[in-house]
Amino acid sequence: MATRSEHATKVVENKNLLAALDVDRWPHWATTIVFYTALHSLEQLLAEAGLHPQNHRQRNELLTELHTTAFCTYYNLYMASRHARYESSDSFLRKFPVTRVRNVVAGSWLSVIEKYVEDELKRIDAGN
Amino acid sequence: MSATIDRRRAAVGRLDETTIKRENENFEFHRLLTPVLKVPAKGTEARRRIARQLLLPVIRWCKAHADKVRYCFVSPAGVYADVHIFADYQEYDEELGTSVAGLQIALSQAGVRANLLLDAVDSEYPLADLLTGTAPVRQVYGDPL
Repeated sequence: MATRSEHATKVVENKNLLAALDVDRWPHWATTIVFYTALHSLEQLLAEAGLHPQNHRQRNELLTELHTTAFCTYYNLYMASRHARYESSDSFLRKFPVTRVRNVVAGSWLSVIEKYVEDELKRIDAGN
Repeated sequence: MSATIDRRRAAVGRLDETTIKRENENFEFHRLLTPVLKVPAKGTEARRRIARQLLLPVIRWCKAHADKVRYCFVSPAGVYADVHIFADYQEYDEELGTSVAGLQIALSQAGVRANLLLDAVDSEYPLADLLTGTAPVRQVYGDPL
């Protein structure tokens, strides 16, 4: 079971990969990387609480119970990643044009999750 | 006269058979959904709570978004109920996605383990996978497929 710091490492690795990726050429992979960046960001909070979900259903259940503020944005990222992973590039691009991937998925949505996690971790660390 | 009675009896027989089959399917569907209740229940109480805490809120939500939502299916998946929502959108509908997320939070707070999935009606795989898969699935909203 991964620790908070191991999830934090995953976040950094994913963000490095995202920074190196040509989002205009690979928007579906960029979306998938953004989703897993958000997932490991939130997993830091769950790991701090001793919670280690084994799949998306378990993770979503915990997030709807413990982190409702972040869940709506995370949910949109989850759906975006499903479109990215299971559909052809053309079909995905109709739902998520490149500019939307760059500005919304990898922009505002990821920022919302990162800000939430940053604030929560500060709160947790201040209490320790 | 006798022939008429026989035909009526046969009709009643067919109706009964259909009704029994449907009731058995309903019973089995609810039995498979019973584990999704966070506070365990059995029998009639479980059926009542599955209806009140899961199925009715989902159907109400679909009706409230009838301008966008085309179909909705519920499928038991272990201790979770997978709820597959299919909507009309070309570009991903963030507002609808956020509303689905809100419904998932509401179901969780009502004591149900549900996993809600939103797809476009024209998505390439999910609807076909759902309808041809081996998992039990029940359409709860939309024109019958």
